[in-house]
Amino acid sequence: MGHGYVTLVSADGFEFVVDEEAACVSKMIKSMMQSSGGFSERRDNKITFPEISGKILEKVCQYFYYKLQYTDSRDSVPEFKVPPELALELLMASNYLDC
Amino acid sequence: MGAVCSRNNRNNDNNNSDRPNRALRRPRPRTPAVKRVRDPSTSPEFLDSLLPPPDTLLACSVRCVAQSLEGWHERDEDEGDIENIDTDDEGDVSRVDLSVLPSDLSQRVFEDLVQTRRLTARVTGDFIGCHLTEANLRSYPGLTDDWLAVLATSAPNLSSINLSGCAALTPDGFNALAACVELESLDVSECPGVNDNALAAVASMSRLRRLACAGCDGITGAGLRYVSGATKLRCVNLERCNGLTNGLVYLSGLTELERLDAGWCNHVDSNDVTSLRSLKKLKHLNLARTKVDDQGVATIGSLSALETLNLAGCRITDGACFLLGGLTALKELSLEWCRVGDGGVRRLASLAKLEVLNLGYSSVTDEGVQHLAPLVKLREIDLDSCQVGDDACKALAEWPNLEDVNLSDTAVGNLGLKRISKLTRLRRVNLSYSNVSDDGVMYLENAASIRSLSLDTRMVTDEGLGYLAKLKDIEELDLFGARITDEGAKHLRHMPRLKTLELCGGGITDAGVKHIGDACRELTLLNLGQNFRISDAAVPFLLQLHKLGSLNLQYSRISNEGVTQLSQLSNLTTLALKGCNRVSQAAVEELRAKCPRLSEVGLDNATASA
Repeated sequence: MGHGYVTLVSADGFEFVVDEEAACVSKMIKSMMQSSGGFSERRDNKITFPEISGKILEKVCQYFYYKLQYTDSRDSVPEFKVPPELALELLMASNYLDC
Repeated sequence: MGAVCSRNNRNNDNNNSDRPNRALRRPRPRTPAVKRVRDPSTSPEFLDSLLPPPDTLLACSVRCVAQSLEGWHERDEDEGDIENIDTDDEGDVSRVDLSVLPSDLSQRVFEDLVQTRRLTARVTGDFIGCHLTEANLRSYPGLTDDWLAVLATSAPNLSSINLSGCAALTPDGFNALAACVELESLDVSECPGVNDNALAAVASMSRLRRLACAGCDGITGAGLRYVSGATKLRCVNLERCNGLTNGLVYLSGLTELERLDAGWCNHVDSNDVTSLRSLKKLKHLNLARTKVDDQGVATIGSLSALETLNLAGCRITDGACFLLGGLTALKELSLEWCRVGDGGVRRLASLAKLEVLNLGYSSVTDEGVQHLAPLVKLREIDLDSCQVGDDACKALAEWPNLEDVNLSDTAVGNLGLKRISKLTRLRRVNLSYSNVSDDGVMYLENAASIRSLSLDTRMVTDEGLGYLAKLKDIEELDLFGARITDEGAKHLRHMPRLKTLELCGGGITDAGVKHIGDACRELTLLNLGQNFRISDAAVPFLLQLHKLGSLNLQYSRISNEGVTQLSQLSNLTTLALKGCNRVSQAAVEELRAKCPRLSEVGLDNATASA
């Protein structure tokens, strides 16, 4: 998997361009990227999530970078803050994305 | 100082030296702590410096949902409290509606609440419509009848509930569970509130497969009538139900039953056992320490599906063994503490599938054991305190799968050890108080499969320990009364994986502790009691043993200064300092303050508990 960017598209049409490495914090996205079955996602590096709203997907992307920064870190790990009003939707999204 | 090396010092109580108490003074070794899997190419020092990885987003979200549930109710409770009425718009945050979640996710939130002890009766009510399937509330603090009623109403689809150790529950609370008609597993062990009436709830649980009521003294037997309709039951645990009389009759219709545990039920007798005759699928039966005698074994002998049978401490004789000989599916049998001798034991030779046999404290002799030679599948044999010697070992040598051998307190000597040393799968060998000496230990030179070895006898010395250099993977070594000195302790450098070590023969000084500290970094238990020459100078070597959880330094010369330094052992939970007259109570208190995990310190005769 070469280094590049991937575009994540929310149900309401918002686009988030993130590092491939960050996106692969999600095991579900990772397996999509790695599968050589010629997914359309693989060709144009764009993945649409018809069940995840822009607000939630933004938070998910923040988490990807948080996870990258603090994995194998020697600094103390701050808590990843989840706004209570997003908690339920984020719970379902994280379950789907496996991260 | 005659008592210095006596085993009586090992525990603080049980000081009688009669035979029966030996068992009490020699507890089975603890299960080793879970091993952390490590990449061997990375140095432990580096990995230890890393912090745990960040939580998954799922875990963060679960935690947040759990917190907002709790917060919502707190705000609710604060209503009317003038200081807490804010003008901000937080009050508009709508109540968390868990029913939008898939049931596996609401289950996760529930489990997080339980683990973090945030679950309350009101939060439980929020799970209405969530289709929770499991509630493990074992020893949950403050769980009341009303709360349990909320659970039963909000989660009527539960398939498994564990309420063991919930002391505040009464029969009324348990009766609320009648609403959970889909229950397959119910555990109310160690609940003092369980009595015959509490079991009435079970009558509506037609899908119940597993019921555990261990340690519920309130069950008299009549209560089991409510269980009689639960015909899908596979597993019933009634262990230590001391009020149980004439109750097993209600189980006679449970023809699917595969496992019944009625061990230590003081009033269960042969008449009760007669009711089990119809349980043709029973595979596992525990009747240890009940009043069952030969007459009861007549019934048991007809349960041809039995694979494990525990009759330890029952009043059975050789005649019973004749009846057991027909149970050819048996894989595990315990006749520990039974009055059976050679005449009976020879009848067990027909149990060709037997893998585990416990004849400890029975009347069997060499002759009886030799009759068992055909049992080639045996993996474990316990002959603790039997009148057996080297001739019995001829039979043991015939069992190629033998892994676990207990010959403690027997007349087995060097010749016997030579005979069994040829076995290639030995893992646990107990030769405490046997007649084995250094010359016998020599035969274990190549027994590299051994993980646990007990050579607690005065006839083993430094020379014997020297023969064990090839036992590189050994994890437990008991040389309690062996005459090991600092010279012998040098040999421990060949045993880097030792987790437990006992050296209490009096010959270890500070120099010997250095050998231990340098070599055995995996130690979690170290017993150096009765080595009266160990002083504060040994403490720096002990501090190298970071994993140490249990340390015994009783009757040593350690002083206040040394004890204070032990606070650096961050995993220490128990410390024995009996007879250390240079240690003051104040020093112990200071140590306690620095070591939050330290739960037991034995000083003199008073064992203080935090």
